[in-house]
Amino acid sequence: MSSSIASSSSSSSSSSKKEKKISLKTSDGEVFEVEEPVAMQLEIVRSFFADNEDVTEQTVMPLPNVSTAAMHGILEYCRAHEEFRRRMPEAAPEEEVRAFEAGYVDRKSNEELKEMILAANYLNISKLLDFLTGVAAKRIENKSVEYVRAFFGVENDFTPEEEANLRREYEWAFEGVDED
Amino acid sequence: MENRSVEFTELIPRLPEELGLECLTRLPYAAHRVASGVCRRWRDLIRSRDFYYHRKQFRYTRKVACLVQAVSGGSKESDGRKLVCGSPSYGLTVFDPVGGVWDRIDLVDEYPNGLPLFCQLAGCEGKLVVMGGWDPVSYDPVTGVFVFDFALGRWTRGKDMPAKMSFFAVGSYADRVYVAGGHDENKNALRTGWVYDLTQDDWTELPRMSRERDECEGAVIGEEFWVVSGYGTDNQGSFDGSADVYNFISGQWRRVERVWEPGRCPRSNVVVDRDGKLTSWSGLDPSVKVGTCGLTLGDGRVFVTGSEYQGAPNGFYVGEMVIKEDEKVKLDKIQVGDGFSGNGVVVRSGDEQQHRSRRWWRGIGVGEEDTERDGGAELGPTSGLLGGTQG
Repeated sequence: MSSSIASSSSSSSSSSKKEKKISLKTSDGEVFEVEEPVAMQLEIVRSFFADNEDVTEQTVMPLPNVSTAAMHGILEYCRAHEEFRRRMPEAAPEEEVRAFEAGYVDRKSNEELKEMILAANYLNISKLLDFLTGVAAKRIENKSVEYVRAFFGVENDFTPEEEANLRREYEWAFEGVDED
Repeated sequence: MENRSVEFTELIPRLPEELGLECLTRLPYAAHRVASGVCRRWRDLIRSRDFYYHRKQFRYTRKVACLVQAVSGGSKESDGRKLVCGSPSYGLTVFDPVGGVWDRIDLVDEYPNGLPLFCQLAGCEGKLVVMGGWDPVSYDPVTGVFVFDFALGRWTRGKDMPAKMSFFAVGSYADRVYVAGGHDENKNALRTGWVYDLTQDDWTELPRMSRERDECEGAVIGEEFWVVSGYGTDNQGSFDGSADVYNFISGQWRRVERVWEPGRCPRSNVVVDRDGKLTSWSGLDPSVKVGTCGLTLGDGRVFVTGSEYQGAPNGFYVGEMVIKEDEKVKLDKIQVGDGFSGNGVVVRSGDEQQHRSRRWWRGIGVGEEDTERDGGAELGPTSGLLGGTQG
């Protein structure tokens, strides 16, 4: 994989010129015009443009595994982080980032969260993936076994006897959990 | 989900295997027990060593503080005095600094009266090792070794210690626990050292140290086990300023002079700063003056207990270890869970003088859910007695 990011034309002069946009098409056919630095956070997009010399500004990159809904969520996150970076290139304003991320996940349902994990994985945005899987883990902290099963749609395959044993063994782990 | 006959169960339905694993990898340790009750695959995964190593590799394991706490005595405020009169029994408390979760580990049946007094704790590859100490009723030294596996939530009995020793130093490296110094059953200070291999469940003797070191303290720095201070049989209580340092690779000791303030008791009081230098927990933060002891939690974070003044209740603090010596440590007081502050968690009261003559004790250790070892200058699990001298 070449490390020359998006070759010569873009990175050096983009700030002075009118902002370059990248067109991304989701699975349900919607085309998103995304500012280049934001789109480049999507590793799959970055390498597509770095590896294909014949792509032009008019090229619409299809993303068949990403729904429009997931794309909205992903771009919101990437745009916010691009904004943080632009304002404070040296070190991200940690508190602001945290506040943004907290508010951001609050608005996402469990289903949306799962869909975005899939999309972030496909688009290869390691930072977002890292963040989302952490959120998923966080959502089942302090929850009951039943809640966790329902959250992830995991089927209980223990025999009633095994389950009774587990409960006895981990009695205290079944107590003091948050209300579902 | 139209296909009901799934031959291969996914960890998390609709998520590719590696993403399901990513999510579970990020679960905090405290959530493992519930997670292992979800389904068979989760249970088998969470209990496996591979899962621990996977978490460790991606730096999701973390250190939890393990404390020896007085657990009997009801829910009175901890002013120590009550505990001295009634004899408390000691249990194991786990504090997870990330979730701020307090928890207690049930003890083995062999210790119906609580943990042996002055037993030593060592954290080792996701396990907590409890060794030695004195029978809480008879005060006879015991040689029992018990290993708590955080992944399984279970104890196993290890091979007994090869000799009766008390007040020895401990340190762990990879899957081995090193012990050195202390004294034998006749109160003769020791120069001996031993290594316990958890995988082999066996003890091997190390070469002798340069001098006797009773009531010494252990610390692991990089690839070395530091046995700090201590005193000889003939000069009880005059703590030495030197250390014997065992190199895990060469298998040899070397002696290092002037690393500890002579006369100061090193028990549970040695901390390795970010430069790899030894210093004392006492006085790291001027607001936590009395009975200070602590441990490092990785990533430069520290967990400290102590009182603000003589007679004050014990507090628990977390903070960042600062590199510059004059800045020391900034500590933030933390909330103590119900039942973890009352019963004299703080085994040691504020009034040090009063208790000097008693068998007064508390232990603290990095129990490790994790034994992550990065940055070289990390203090290994510490444990044992704090400040109190025996006899």
